[in-house]
Amino acid sequence: MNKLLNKLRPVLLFIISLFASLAISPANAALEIEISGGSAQQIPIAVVPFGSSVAGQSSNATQVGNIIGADLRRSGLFRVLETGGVVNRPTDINQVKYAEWAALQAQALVVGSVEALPGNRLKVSFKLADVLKQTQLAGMEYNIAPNQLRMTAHKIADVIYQKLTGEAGIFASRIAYINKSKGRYTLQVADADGENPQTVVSSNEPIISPAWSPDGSKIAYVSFEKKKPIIFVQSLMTGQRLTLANFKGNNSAPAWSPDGSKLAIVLTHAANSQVYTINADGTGLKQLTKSSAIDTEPTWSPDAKWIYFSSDRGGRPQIYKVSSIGGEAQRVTFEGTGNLSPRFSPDGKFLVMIRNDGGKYRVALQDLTNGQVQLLSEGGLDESPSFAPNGRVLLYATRVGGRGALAAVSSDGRVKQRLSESGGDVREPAWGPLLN
Amino acid sequence: MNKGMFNKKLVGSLVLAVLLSACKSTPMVDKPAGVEDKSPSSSSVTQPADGSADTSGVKEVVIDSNANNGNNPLNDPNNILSKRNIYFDFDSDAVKAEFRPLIEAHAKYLVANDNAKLILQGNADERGTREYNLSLGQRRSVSVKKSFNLLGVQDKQIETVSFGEEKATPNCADENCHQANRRVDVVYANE
Amino acid sequence: MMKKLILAGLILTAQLFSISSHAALFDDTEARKKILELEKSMQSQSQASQAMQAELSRRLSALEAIVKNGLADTQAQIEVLKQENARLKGELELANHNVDATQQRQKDLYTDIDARLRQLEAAPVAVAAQPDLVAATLVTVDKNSQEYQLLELANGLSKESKHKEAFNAYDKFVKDYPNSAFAADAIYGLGYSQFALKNYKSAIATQQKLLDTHVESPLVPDAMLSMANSQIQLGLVPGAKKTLRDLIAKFPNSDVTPTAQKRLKALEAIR
Repeated sequence: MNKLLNKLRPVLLFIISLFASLAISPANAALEIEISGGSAQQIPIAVVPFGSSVAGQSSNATQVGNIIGADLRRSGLFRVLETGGVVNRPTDINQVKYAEWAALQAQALVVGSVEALPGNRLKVSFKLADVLKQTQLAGMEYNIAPNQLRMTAHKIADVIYQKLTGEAGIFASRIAYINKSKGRYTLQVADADGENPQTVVSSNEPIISPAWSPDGSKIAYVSFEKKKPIIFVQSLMTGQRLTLANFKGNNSAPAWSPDGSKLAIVLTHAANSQVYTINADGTGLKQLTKSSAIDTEPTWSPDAKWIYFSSDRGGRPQIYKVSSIGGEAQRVTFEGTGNLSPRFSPDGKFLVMIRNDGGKYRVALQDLTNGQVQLLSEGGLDESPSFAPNGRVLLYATRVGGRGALAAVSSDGRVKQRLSESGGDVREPAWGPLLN
Repeated sequence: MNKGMFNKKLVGSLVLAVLLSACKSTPMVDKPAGVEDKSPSSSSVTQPADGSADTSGVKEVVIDSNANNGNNPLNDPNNILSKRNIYFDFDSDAVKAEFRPLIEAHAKYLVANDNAKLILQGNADERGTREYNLSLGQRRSVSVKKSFNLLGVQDKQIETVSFGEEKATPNCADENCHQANRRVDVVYANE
Repeated sequence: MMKKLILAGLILTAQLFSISSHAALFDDTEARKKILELEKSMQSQSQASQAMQAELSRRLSALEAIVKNGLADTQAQIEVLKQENARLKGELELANHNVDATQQRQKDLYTDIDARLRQLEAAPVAVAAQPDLVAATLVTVDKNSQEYQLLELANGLSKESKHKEAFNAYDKFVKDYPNSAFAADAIYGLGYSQFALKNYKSAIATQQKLLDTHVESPLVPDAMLSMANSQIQLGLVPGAKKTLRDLIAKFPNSDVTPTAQKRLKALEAIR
């Protein structure tokens, strides 16, 4: 089993689209200003390669610095300066000679180190300094197991991002997606940068619709392993699996309530797809929509008052909303041939969806305050959009050369990146919550 | 003695009369027997005598054993029961007239075989989102189920499920390819 | 049905057996007779049941035909109707949405216009200060009215240089219609007639009246020029110069300003 997983473990590569390569390559740094959306200027920051007093930790130390730099660069809000030619490499703030970094035009500076602790533990520490004011802005120490090194680097990047932009960072969050390779379907979880993929479950029958629990500890998904769609909830830590819904007919489209106590699901029993709610332990099933049409793809508003869903009760699929305690449904979308897969922004002000315009399926963002819609992607069969926990980036599935790939776009539509996996077919991405 | 014998005779005639009159007065009630008469294996006369006459209810089992021996009509390529695919038009779940004979044949088989269970697997082409296509495939299987219900097949013998676009041929270049993906597959529970 | 028939037969056979076992109690003929009777009865029952079976089979086939063709067609039609119904529902939703949107837009527009009107109403002086607007309202006065006819008459007489008659007409107008929208025109005409009749002092006083009472009239520059002309005739050169300078300063773009400038230049040259 393990061997098989290792063999299938994808090397997620960033295959950067034209936009993103302009955005990320430091040589074209001038163009990055356009992408940052809101901040006209990128913050010049120097991440000094992390140091270690022990030779054995030098590769770990280098890795941490590299990950932090890559995270900040990819956000589009930072210009990460080359530090290769710098002779003095401080690892703590009292060693910093600010004049040198001011000369490099750095506004912010990150220093840090990785040290070995007894009992196979590591101590990772970092300091963030304001070069112009010559003061420390942030600093932290982490006592971790070696396998937490990568995640710790992402957490440091989040602290830096939060301190310098005022927004929550998302580097320490994780994404889930389905990988189809050689006839097997694998539900995987990876870091937000696509690295460190881990298999949650694999099957020779399809797996679809992964959904993170709000606390990030579980994933609900739909598996066809019994020749029909059944909803499972699986703990990421223990691998323990609960059959959430296995009723007659289809069981699909799980969506967690904001407090994680319930899920909205879609059942058919013996007729058409209808939206139900069910407790997270599989009890308390309640029918929410009653129509003779298809009602599916439910999602909760962040205040838990509404459940939005797609329905073809009006002939073509459109988005409707219904109170989460039941009642009459109201139509929400009126433009386009059809609208599918609604998902809320974390602040509840925007609704992302898949819009069908004459057979082209694309990611569209609707401002719920004024109803205005912006198209964010230009693919023909884009699917499964979801917001990053800070609402700044959206993840969705697209097709490249006949194969599934993941793509990300900033919520203002300016920055686009694509993640693709060698030899595989990747689909159904879902961005997990922020973990603390 | 005499009295007793006459009594017995009387009882016998009464039993006969009651049975016959029951047949006369409520002919439609006896539907299961009527259906059995039409099935090929019900020529009760040629059945091997397997004991007392009150084993007449066994006949249903005989039909099952027929189904279980080598020439299973479900797999016989010359039998319409081996045909299992019902195709649909784009964005439609209406069963087309050309597939009625197929459905009638399977319905007849299900009515004759109480224990047989059918799974109707709906499918959709890859256009649209996965969950919506799952529902679309489901609606097609429900539409086929309704046709079965009209032919006397009970709900407990049919389960409708959907694979959505999961079993669809990917990257269809033309309409013929999409058309092949828009279908309901008829599958028996033990297959 | 068959089952029951067979069962009945078996019971009968058993019955017959029990009869024969006690045959000794009957004589043979009677027994035979009974048997024959029973056989005959059985035969006729069997025939009847066969006929019934055929009848049932026929009726069942008829029912099957109804199900296969009739109900299947009906189901197909119901599906079509359901689709059509859904489509109509969708269009109704869209139409309702458009009506809502239109109503909202109308409401927004009304609120906007209302707000602008309130602004205008709150500042009536600002409106009056715009001479163009006032002039525009003057034009709309009824041309068939008596006052307008009288003014036309006076203007016509003035053009024909019948200054005495024109003076009388203008004078009557000013007395009869002191609040007319054309009052300024009449006063100016009166002053012009007085000038033509060489009654310069009266002419100056009349034009001064226009300047005092119809500050916004477009005829003000004309009245000033006329006044200056009368002053010149009376030899009041400094007064004439002042009047002309005022005219040029206040109305640099007036039609009569070039004339005023020429006069002023001429007056200054006298010195």
